[in-house]
Amino acid sequence: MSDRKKLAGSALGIALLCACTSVFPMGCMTANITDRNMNEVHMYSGENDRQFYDTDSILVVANKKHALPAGYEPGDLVRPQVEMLNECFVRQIASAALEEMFAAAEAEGIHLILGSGYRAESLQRELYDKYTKQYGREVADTISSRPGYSDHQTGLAVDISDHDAKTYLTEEFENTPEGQWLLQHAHEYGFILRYPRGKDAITGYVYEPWHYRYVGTDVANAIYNEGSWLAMEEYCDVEGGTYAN
Amino acid sequence: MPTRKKRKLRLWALLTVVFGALALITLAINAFVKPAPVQEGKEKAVANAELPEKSDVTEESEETADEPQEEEEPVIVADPFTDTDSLLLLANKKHPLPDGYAPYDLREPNVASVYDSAPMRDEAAAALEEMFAAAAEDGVTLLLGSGYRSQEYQYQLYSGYCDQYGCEVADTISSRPGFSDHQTGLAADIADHDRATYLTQEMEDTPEGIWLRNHAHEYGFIMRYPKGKEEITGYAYEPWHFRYVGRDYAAAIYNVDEFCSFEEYFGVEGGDYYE
Repeated sequence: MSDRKKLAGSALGIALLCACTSVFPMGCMTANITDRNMNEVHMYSGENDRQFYDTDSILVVANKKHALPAGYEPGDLVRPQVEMLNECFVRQIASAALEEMFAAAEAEGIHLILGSGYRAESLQRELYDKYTKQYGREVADTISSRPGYSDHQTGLAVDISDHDAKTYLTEEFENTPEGQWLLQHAHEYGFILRYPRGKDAITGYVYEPWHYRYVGTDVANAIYNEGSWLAMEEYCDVEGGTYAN
Repeated sequence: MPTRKKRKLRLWALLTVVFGALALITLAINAFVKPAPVQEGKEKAVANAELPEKSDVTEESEETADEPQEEEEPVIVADPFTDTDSLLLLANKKHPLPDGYAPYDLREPNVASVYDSAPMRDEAAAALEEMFAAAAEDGVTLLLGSGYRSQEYQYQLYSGYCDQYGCEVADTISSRPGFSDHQTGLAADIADHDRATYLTQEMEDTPEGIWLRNHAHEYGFIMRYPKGKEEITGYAYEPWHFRYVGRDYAAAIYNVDEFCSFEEYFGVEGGDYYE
């Protein structure tokens, strides 16, 4: 009898523990992020700040200095209900914001198309290997992330195309109505330009006017209000640039 | 007090027995009901027997060796157009695929592509790689546009067009979910080197389009929606859409003429939807 009680007690305990752990970390995380504003930029403890390494955080950093945990795959990938060039998935939170953004653009006569979203580490490996075989590692590093280092693996990054895909993945995208609209409005929906112009040395990537990254509206507004193509690495005070080796 | 304890114990025992029995019943149901569509054994048998000559004979003998089945099974196995592991698996407006079908052996072909992902079934991917390499040797740069498309994604595409243009127009530009050749994992949309004519009929006159029309069959691919065969296939001419059927069939179909359609060659029904 007492054994049974203990069993029931421990089961209840485990259930409670699970419930708590599933509620609290999220709570802490969102509190951390929403309370930020521009004045607090440098209050990030930079390299030591947990949230840039925490894959549950929408500020998780993936760049040539910060790999994601090996084999990381977001648990809440969904297919956004927007027009796309190819089947894409992104994390739920980014998907909702993306749908809102696309609808807002459409209302202003701007037709955006989603080109790419989440990219699995395995797919990134295939892409990188393909380029390495074709052009050698040095060139491959300039056109493709190494597996585990891609912003697309976070499930929070998107490549966006103009309405007829004429300038997709080219710098000319910047001058299309779609590119211009995004530069002015993406932050309202929580997206930032991930690889701004002239920040190659900081981000480790050339200017990509098509690549947007979801970071939430607070951080996106703060970065946008800075007004000078601030890179995520600068705002978060984390290391970027090229690979260590 | 002891009687109460006993009663409680008995209750627990009863509950355990009931739940145990329930669990056993579900297990039993799973074990006996699921095998009805025993696909795997059957699929492997057909894969091995995938030859133009008399495939049904080998299929049936291997089938019986694999597992004793009910009588209706061999009939299904003998039909290469509905068997999901057959390279002749048919998807057109008269023949939907099994609901929710997804190939088990998809991978990314190791070729230059328009988007970052365009999975295809393993055998088709290997043939495509060979074809792209051969084209490159002839100075023709092919780009892979689109490969496998899931039924869910096709649903989103189709319903998006329905919302935008109405379903009547949607039917002319997109397959309904479950009816798309792309869901077989054996189809590829191919682009010219700079995507200038991608998904347009002008592809036909590019070096890429011409090369494909003359050589795709050597690698097991056929033009799925040939020119002038709209009524038969149910689709407008798509000089970019190629379908893997294996080298023997592809050569046989090409040898009839360069615009021979799948539906004509095999005498299967095509054309528009029933309603």
